[in-house]
Amino acid sequence: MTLGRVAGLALVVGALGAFVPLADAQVAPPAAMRPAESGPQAILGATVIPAPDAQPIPNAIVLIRDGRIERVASAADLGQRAPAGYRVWNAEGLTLYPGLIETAYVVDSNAAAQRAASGAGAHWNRRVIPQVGPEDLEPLKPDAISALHKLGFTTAQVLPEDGLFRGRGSVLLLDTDPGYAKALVPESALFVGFDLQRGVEGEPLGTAYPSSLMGAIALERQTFLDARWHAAQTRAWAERPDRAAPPIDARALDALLPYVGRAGPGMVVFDAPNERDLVRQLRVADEFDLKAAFLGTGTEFRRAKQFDGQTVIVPPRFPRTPDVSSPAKTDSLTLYDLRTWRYAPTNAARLERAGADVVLTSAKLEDRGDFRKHVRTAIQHGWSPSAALAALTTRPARLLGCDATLGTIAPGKIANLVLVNGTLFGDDRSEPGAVRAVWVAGRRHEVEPAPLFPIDGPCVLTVAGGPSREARLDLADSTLQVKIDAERVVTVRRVAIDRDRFTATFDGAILGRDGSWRASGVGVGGAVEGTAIGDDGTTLTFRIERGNSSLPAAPVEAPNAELLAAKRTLADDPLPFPFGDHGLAEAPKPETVLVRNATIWTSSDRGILEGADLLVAGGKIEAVGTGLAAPEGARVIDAAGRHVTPGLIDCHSHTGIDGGVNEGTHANSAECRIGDVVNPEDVGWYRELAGGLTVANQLHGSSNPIGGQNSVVKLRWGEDERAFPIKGAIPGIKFALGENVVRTRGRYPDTRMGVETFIRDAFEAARRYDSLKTDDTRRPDLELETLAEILRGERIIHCHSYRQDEILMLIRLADSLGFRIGTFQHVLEGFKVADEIAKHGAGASSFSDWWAYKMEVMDAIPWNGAILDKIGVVTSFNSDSGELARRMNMEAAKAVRYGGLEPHEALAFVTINPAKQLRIDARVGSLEPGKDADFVIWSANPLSVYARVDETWVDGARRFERTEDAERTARDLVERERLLVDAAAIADEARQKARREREKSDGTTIDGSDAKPDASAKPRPFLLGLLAAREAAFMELVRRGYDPDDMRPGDCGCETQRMGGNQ
Amino acid sequence: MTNVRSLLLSALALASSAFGQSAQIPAPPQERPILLEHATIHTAAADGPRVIANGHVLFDKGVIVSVGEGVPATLPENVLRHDATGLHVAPGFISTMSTIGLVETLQVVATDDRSETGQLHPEVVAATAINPDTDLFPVARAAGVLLSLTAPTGGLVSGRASALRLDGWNPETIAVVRDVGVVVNWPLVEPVQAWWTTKGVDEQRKSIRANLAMLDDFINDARGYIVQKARFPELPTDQRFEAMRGVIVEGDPVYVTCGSRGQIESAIAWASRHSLKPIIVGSRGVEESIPLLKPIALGVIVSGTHRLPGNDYESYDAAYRLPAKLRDAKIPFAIATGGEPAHDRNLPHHAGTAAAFGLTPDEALAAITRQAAELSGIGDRYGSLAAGKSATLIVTTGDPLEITSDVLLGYIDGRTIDLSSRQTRLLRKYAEKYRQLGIDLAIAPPAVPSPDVK
Repeated sequence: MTLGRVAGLALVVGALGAFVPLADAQVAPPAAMRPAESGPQAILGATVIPAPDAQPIPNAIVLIRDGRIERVASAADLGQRAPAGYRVWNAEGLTLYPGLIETAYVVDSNAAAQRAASGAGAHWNRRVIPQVGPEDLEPLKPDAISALHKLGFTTAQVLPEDGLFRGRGSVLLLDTDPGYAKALVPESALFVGFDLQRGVEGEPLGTAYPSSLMGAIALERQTFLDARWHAAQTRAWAERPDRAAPPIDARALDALLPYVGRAGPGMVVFDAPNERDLVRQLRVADEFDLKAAFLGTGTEFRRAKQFDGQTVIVPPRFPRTPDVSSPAKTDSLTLYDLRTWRYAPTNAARLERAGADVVLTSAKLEDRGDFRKHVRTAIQHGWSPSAALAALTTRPARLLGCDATLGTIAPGKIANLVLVNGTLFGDDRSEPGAVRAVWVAGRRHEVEPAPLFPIDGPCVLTVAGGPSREARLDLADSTLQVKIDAERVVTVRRVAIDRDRFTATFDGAILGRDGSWRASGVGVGGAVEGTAIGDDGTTLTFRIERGNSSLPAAPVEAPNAELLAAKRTLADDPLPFPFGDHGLAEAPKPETVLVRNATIWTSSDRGILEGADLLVAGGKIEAVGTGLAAPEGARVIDAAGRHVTPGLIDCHSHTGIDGGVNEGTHANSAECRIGDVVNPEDVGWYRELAGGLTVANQLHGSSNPIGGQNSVVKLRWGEDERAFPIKGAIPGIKFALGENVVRTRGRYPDTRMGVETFIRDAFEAARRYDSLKTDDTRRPDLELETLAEILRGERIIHCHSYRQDEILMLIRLADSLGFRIGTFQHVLEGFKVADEIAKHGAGASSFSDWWAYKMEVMDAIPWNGAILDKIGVVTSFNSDSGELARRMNMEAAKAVRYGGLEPHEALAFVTINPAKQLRIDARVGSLEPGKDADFVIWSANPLSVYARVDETWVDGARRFERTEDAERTARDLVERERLLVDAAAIADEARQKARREREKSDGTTIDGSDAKPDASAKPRPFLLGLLAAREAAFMELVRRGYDPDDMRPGDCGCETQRMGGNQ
Repeated sequence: MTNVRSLLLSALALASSAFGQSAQIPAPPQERPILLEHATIHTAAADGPRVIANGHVLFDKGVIVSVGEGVPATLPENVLRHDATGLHVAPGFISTMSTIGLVETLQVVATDDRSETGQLHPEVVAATAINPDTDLFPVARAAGVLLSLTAPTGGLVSGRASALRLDGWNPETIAVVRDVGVVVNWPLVEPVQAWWTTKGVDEQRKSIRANLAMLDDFINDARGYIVQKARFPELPTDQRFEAMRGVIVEGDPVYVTCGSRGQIESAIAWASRHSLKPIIVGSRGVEESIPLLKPIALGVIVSGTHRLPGNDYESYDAAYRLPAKLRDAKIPFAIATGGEPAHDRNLPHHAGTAAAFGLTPDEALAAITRQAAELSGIGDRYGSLAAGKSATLIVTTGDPLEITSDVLLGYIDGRTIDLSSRQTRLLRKYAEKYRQLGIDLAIAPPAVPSPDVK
């Protein structure tokens, strides 16, 4: 296309386009004169960045016609002028970028959620409302759109905020006039998130299912299954109306069809409050083979590797500088907090290096206005500017399926542009430039007009009839400097400039007079004409013109090259895992080890071997005996005078469970899986390793008769949650009886009588379910499926129980249904019915000596374990507590004291017996050739109160060693101190400002990922009372130096129901 | 002379008759001198030998006559001699800052007398509400815990603590010292921000300031009252201020429970401002506060070693090694359980853990005997085995702090204590169930010989 032809066309079409207003169906007919409408436009003189990786075009011209880009060229090619008929915008000295795309503009959807949840075909769960669509949302307010323009956004995907399955979004062109609102993609992504903190109307905070993270994941899983099932039902009905049953009116499930169907699935955007939960969403997306993107929080760098190959939408969100203003505040800062603070700016760079497709969002920022400033920070921390631009243009365009129309400045694309004074993200020397204007589908929206004031910089101030002086006016910091004589410069601060006028108070010296003068001036013809009134009432005039001046600008802080270089390489620092205290640079590897001359407690038929050796290789035990030879390259440990035992096993743990140990909102929560919420970074694991523990049975709490599925893990500190589960362990589930489950008054069951009938009812349903054909007609039900597994003997019950009557009840119930209970947990009155437990074949996992904390444990006796053991029940002692789990050997010793067990038998209570109970005794629990090399080296007899753990080995890898621990702790403390000093060193002014802001906002945590209770959640008064009572009780604990999040024996998660607390 | 073990066997023989119905009857006063000989004696004394390998303890009329090696050259005429070869003798353990006697079943509100409602209640005294027939006393005794410093909880000034012997017919015979000192439950000094908080930082700050001001005002008011009352005895009596007389005028200790360094700092500043003698009760923040504690605090009651570190960055053994740090700093300290009174029986294990992490075993023992007595206001009579001290002691099968050691005999003021309990009753009952089924559990519940058995 030649230039002439374009120009000619422009003339012809332009004649129409320039004067005939665009007609739009949703713009009201003009009541008076038609507003001037834009025809074709030309943006002239800007430096154009056509695409993230493209060469900038200096002094360019961009032609816009009918809302699209018509041409991009060097202005020189067009003779430095726009073709005739084009409205020309002078953009000399400015930079033009493709309009930015906000991928996750999340808006309040509470009203829509309420309507959907109460509407026809609603899901039973009020937070499953995917039927909420763009049409249900309030249109964006012009102010909100203007605020986005200011950040450079011209397109946004709008997503609804409320619920778990929150609804569907749409991709909108951001025009402030609703009459021109255009949806590029009328229905875009499905938005799914964990939303436990926000209450749902009619279901007060904490009482609605799901109240826990595992419940939320279970509900996600069940809902996706339901959607598939419903699709099959709908299909069957369409194909065979004579035979198939009409499908249910399920608007929620209908809405999910485009996202789970096999053909061309729509995208699902998963949201989560932190990176661990985001990884959990990733697993759900994988499980259901969804096309997914993940909305992060800015802390994904803590697990960057796990986002390899994924699209992650991240905010440039950085924690505030840690508050070190008092020793107590400093004391509460962990390395986890401090490292997060230090490394958060490297998030984008690290994710990108890890292979993630990084897309930026301004969502979740404390102040959205900081967006571009923070992108600049991310760039200074090792991210490339072109990647940052791509993360806001081409990448989101592709993600949203708009890459044909958006993302670059190229002919044919929609004319979404952003014009910036300077550069979009700034650089080391300058802040991001102000956005002057944006074009949205060709419609220009002015954002921040060019300053009208004629003077900015060196100038000369001349008083009428008086002296003429060198001066300098700086608009940026509103100061006027005037040189009085060789020595003296007077600076006027707070020069108030309003468009083309100014007012200020002058020191008389400026005017060559005494006293102080009220001065004002107006920009006229490139200069400022001023008048001043003195305090004696006299007036005079003055003039400020551009001119030469030797006065320097207010000193601009020169970028500290060293600091900048340090920032740039921060993204190269290897990060430990777990990320916080006691984290490891590298997970330990299995070694070949010979432990010599030890007293070895085998927990096997061989009993205790004196002066014996243990040989370990490839993660397995090779030999236990005497005089074993060390293989080549083996580590040899002289354990003379020391003792070696199998790694200890805790058959009742609540360590490392994220987002609540109870899903107690339903009396049956069999669909919930602890395995979904294992936290491998919980410092509790490390502390327990330091006490010789190597295996834990992570159990759901005891707030309901049928709890959730358990998780049997090895304490593989230094590895992620995928490494924790013991493969091949028989699946289990927590049940609970007695006081805890009947505590929720008014919910069936309220009595021990009802507990029996409730459980039986659930099993009867499961039996019927299991007998149905497993074709498309049977709705997959994860709750019933789990119970059916118990009936089939594929899953065992670990049942919280205290009183003998309830124990007997469950035995009889299981007998009548034809399965065997795995273990009774706590089972403090087990000694009263030990013969029945033995006959049934269940195990018993008890506290050694706890009692009197509630009514049903008044009859507990410390001989319980020994009696059960003597009657023939496989018996263990457990912790139910992150504190007790660190010294299970001491618990075992109590079976010697109370009941006279032989020491070796007593130790079995925390080694081979719990292994048998968990059906993992073929792998762990004793020191025998072929078993996993899980062992502990003790400084003394492990049943002695004076014994310490010297080393703990899991799978032949050393996971704890006392000297190494001391060294690492010391190293960590040094790093912590260094970070604290850095935090303290931040300029006083900045610190004070930050403190003021902090006090204003009242309650931000340093780790931005921690969800705050949402003010919009309005619990009912009775619940408010409960929350206040809990708060008072927890405050009392804190007051005495306890952490309410730590589980104590007997709590079993019921007294401290957690609703999503993080580490 | 009887062998202690055979003594127990004969006691077992009697068990089915008298003991079968035992209701843990308080023991009568010591009638005859008793000699425990050939035992390993753990004196817990401040000076002199801490451990005597083959030693004796002779006591009469509730008071220790002699402690030493071998057997005394001369013995009282009607002395009852127990051969304790292979056994250990130690002072009875003292559970400090316990709530034993004030609560039975934690979750049954009707059994809970630990906390009076309101903020400032020094007038309430633990000894008033001790239930002599609590099932918790016998269980604690059976593990060697023979004395306690029982303290009310809650509010700001919780009340006054009482030193108790865990055996007696009524609160009056149980109380050793009714009014030992005032207990202050130090308020939080920093706002808490957690997932469960609903009160904002500002609101919390307001209540923090109010609490701290209330504590200052209260001491000032009490002091003013005491001064005025001395000059004008006709002024009306105020029970609350009268209750403060001990700590303000007589130098009684103020037990201040603290859960953080900030609380300790603020409590110490307060005590110093008002010339009070604080004993800090806590664990978290204590190590960091050692330099501050040394000149001002009377001592520290470590509220349990079986506690998690206060912060993630702390070493896993931070709470285990705190007693050793206090020892190194020469700050007087005792070890308590810091936990539920039902678990006071595990007090020696808290001490034992401190020994695994830095204390010597005899230092650890002293932390729950002599030093505990000193910080409970009964150090002049209790806490160590020395001539002239109360014969409040235990005989154990092994090292007194070891978990596997059993307590065979217990004496409080020379009285031979019943070591049976609700729990041994249940053990006996269900042993009988299995006996009827033809199963012998072969578990011997601890029993107590009648002092008459020769």
